[in-house]
Amino acid sequence: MNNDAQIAQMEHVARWFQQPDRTERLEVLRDVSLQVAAGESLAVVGPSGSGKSTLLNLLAGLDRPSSGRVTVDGREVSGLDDDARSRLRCERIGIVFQLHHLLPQCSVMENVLIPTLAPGAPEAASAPRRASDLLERVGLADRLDHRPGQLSGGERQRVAVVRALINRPALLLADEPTGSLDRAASESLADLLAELNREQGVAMVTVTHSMRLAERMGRVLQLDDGTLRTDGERA
Amino acid sequence: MNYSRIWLRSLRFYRRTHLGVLAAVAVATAVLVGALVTGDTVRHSMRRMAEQRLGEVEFAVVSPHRLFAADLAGRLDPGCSAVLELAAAAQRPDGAARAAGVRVLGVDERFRRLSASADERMRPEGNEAVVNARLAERLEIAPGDELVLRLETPGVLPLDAPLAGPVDGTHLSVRIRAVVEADNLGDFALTADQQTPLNVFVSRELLAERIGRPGMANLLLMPRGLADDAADADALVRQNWRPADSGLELHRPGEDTVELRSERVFLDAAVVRAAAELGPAAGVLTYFVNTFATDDAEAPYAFAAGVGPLGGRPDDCPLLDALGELDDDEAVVNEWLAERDLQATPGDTLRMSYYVEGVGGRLVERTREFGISAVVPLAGATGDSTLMPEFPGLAGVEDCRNWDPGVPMDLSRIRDLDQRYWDNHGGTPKVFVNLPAAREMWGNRFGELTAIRWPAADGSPDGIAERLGYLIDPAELGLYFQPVRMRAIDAVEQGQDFGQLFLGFSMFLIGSAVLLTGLLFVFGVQQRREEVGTLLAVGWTKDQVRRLLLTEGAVVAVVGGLIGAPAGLGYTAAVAWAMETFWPRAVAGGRLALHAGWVSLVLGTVSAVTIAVLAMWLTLLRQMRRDVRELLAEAAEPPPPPRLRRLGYLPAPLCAAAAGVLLAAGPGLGPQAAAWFFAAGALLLAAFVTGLYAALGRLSGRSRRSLGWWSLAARNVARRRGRSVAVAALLGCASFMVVAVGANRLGVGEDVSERSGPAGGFELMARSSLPIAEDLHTADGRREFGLDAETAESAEAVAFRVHDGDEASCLNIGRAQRPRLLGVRPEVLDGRGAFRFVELAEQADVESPWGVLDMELAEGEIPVIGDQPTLRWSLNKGLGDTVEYTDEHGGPFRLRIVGVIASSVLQGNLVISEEHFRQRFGSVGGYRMALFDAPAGDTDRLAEMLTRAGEPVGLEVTTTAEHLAEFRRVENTYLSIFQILGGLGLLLGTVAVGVVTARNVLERRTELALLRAVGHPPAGVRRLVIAEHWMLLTAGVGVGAAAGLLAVMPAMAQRDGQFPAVSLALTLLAILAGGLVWTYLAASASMRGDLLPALRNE
Repeated sequence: MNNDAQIAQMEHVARWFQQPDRTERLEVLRDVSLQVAAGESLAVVGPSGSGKSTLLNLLAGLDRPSSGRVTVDGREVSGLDDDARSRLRCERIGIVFQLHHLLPQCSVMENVLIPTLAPGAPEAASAPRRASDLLERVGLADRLDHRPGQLSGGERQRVAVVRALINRPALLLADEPTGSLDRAASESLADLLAELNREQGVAMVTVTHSMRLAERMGRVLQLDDGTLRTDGERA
Repeated sequence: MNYSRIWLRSLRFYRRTHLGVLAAVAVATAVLVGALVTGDTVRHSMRRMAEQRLGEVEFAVVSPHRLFAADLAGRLDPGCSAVLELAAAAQRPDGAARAAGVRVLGVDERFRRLSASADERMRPEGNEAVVNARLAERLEIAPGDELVLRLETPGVLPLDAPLAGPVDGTHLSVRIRAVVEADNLGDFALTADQQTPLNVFVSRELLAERIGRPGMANLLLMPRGLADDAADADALVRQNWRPADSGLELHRPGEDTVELRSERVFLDAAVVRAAAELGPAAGVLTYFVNTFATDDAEAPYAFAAGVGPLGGRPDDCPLLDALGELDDDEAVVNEWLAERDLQATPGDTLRMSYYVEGVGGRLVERTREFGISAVVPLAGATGDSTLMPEFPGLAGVEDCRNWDPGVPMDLSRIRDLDQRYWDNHGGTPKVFVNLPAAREMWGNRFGELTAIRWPAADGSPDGIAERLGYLIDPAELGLYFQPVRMRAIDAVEQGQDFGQLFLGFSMFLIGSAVLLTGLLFVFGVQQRREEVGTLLAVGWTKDQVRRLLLTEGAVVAVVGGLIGAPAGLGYTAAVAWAMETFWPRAVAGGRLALHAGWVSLVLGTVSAVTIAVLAMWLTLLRQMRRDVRELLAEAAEPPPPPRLRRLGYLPAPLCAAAAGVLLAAGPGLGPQAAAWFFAAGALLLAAFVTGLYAALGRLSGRSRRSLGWWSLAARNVARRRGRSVAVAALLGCASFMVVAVGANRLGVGEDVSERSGPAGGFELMARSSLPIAEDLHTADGRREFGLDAETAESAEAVAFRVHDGDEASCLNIGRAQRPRLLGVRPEVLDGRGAFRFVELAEQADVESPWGVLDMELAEGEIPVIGDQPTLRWSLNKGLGDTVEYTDEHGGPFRLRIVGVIASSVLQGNLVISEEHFRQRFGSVGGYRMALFDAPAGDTDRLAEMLTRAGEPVGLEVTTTAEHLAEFRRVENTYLSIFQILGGLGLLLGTVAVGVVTARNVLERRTELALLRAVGHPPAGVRRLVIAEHWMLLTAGVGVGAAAGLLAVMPAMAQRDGQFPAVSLALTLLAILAGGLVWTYLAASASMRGDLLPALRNE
């Protein structure tokens, strides 16, 4: 794979946590290396506690590796300070969490626009138009002024996806995006993510238990006890 | 989409959460604004009272013992008023009610106009009197009632001057015309304190006539607008003053002479100095001699005179010519004494015995020998009866057996021969000496001449008077203006700042409100941690998120401030009401009217809002340290950042510091030790708080093999340790303050028998309206005063001369500008070892510390002693400092503090030696205060006897214990206010405990549901929650109380069993009980309902 086309890269990354008694450490990731190409979709699957979320947090700049390098869009994430990492997330990364984490006090439209207020957010003026288009795209055109409390679980998660895409990220990270949804909603969201990956040309890394969701991704990686191995690639 | 839209949405969405913060900020603002406005209110009210006391008066001549012509006022300006003010005791005719310390003011129409209202009722005529409301209330009198006044009658000479004449009082019966309020000058007073006087207003004409001094006054009041300053006002006096205004009389005793004499008998040095400038004259000093004796005979009681040139020898002076040149040891006797009394001839030795004022004002009989140089005829210049001045008690008395010159006389010595002389020749001196010899013998602090005579050719009496008027500065005769309004305002402005005081008192309340603000705000933030995490995850910076939350918080704080500010006015009104109703001593009985300055309102509101926003900012700093992963997940409180972790190392050094402080305090438990112990207690408290934080940290990290309810509870307490420690610290501080303040409450019944104690070993304190002439230091004096022989012998007393001034004790909340001065004989107090000295000038002899009052200081300085509260709190002075003062001639001098005694019955006064007192305030005669040490078990009898004997002088006798209790009650009043406000703070603190409990339960609903799910009964789960918080409560209260007890150990040790253990224990129990109840209610309320669905939600 051409390095120039890579949007994110992990090189020999390890992450461990010191136990409170300082006698031993808990190793979550061991010597993980990974490249994410622009526009590709990738699923990381594995059992609970295998380190999936940690891997995603490292890619999102929400955590720092204990060793190794994490690079996003050519910048080494672990070398950036808080503000720079915030800026990187704002400009280049979109995140969808298992829980939607919508602001209950804001409407659907406002929630989607939240990232546009971050420093470095592109096209602030055109953001509302893009938000409307994206919401329409995910089938929420008639829900713009609704509050999160007035939406179903699947709808909320779709709002969260649109929020993640509002700043035109190059990399979309999804942490168990269907984890809190029922089967139908999960299916619908999985379809949506796959379509958006294609339509928006955004690289997508999804960590999930769900093989149904993983199967929609171009590549599936297996994370077992902190070690990453390739399961196979799809077109 | 923009920030404001988000925070507006958030404000609305989280309005319920914000309501708590808003209420807490409102409380903090109300208390802060309330404290400042209380300051405004007290200051404004005191200022208003000062202005009511003074009316329009700006400057005043205060010459209580030296009267002047009342018409001087009119000559200065029609707006000026002359008043005759006399001390008095008042009683109802039936004797049912009495009041000492009454001031009778002889006023005229001009006085009435000094009040803005110019009340028509303030126009007493005939025997009418107008009284102020306080006196009417005290005596329960109303218009139409009669009142009997026993008046001070200022003599022409001070009471204790030699030959001052008889001591008597005068009665005046009046009918009440009206009772006037403060607005109408009812509370007129020139002192710069807020003690409401007992005033009776009568016609000045009536009063002056009653005391035999028609047309005279002793107060000159100048309204605003007539002079720029006191010097300007003095200049006005100087322009208009005439010698006659001060009782100086110029007349012709014979065709060829003009004589200057004074109604005060002795001519002031200033007058003599001016007279000497007018031209050559003869100075005369005539004196009363007890005995004229030769070796073979003696004659009693007659006059002798010293005569000599003044300012050069006049060309034509028959008296000087008749006497010729006399040496200092030569005397000329008249023919009556030579031939009829003594059968003496020139060359014989003549001895004259006479009384003079000795040390301490005691009369001493002295004798001096002269050689008789000549015998002169009882006619012409040497037979001039006008050479005798108008000695009170002698002049005008027909029968010389009725003489009462104010000195001990054996009237049985007076012979018929003496009466004949008196009948035919009056007070014609029987002996003449030269002036230097006379001055040496009879000169005294009131003057050295009784008359000055000029040849008639030098001018008419009026001409000489006019020239003298230019040469004499009336200020030297006591006629100088004092800036009474400025002093009254200064007293208010520099006085006790109730704003500061209440700020101090309310600190805990404000602190609690701020803590509650922080707690509620942080709960709000924690509730929104997911939102914070999301914002950070989508690319917002921490600054942005912090700004958003802080903006919201600030808006809430501002609204809280805007609600709290008017509430603060309500709080002030409540405080003012409480002070007038329950704590009148705190404002010394002052009447309070709500007054809020804009500065206080704005400052209070802005400060409270700022503090609240700062608290929010601080809590946000901590909250924002958490990373996004934690914020987006259910997580326990993060481990403390390294800086806080280091707190764990602090308890040991803090304990060591506390121990060091205790060692430094040493075994002595003096006043400084109290401060040390307080510091040690505070350090221990800090050690506890940091220790608790560290211990909870260790507890949360430790893994155990077994688990019990208590260990589970303890582990839960450790879970949110910042929150737990905040609660325990709050309660600990509260308990510390409650114990520290409560233990300082003073018992009001003190042991007064200890000579080194606050009463100096005196059981009784007596203060009189009129001066006491008798020397109460001696058994004879006490007997003369009216005690029976046995009591006079066994009782001991120390008497004080009193120069009235401002009350400089805690009974005056203003800053005393001219504190009251007491004159005492230091040796009497030293002889008893009375009172305990806290500080003493280096030069002092510790064996006789009061002797320091006699030490020599720089020119114009007088040593002074005061007690600690007077100097420190009322005057803000210490050892070595000086207090500016003015003597009765307007001469400035400094009182240098050479000793400080512990808090005592002398509080409110400054004490100087009697000798210095007499030098500076020669006109103040007699004693007006005394302390008595009664024989064992005889206090009541002595008090009764003193009251009876002192009735003519309006003597008020109280026990020193009661007098001290007055001060203690004031101090206790302040402590009560502190405790009440502290209690309110504690109430808020326990509310915080409740809030924390409820919050903890809500956050742990799932966990508690789990306990239920695994089989624990609801009551057991509730017990667990309650036990956790009770542990915190008990630890906080317990350690706070222990630290507080340590802090007050010196106070306890000094008070021998007076430690208020029961009340303190009850207070602490109440605190504990309050906290327990709040915790129980909060835990029960938040655990109401079924917990199990919480598991399903998970």
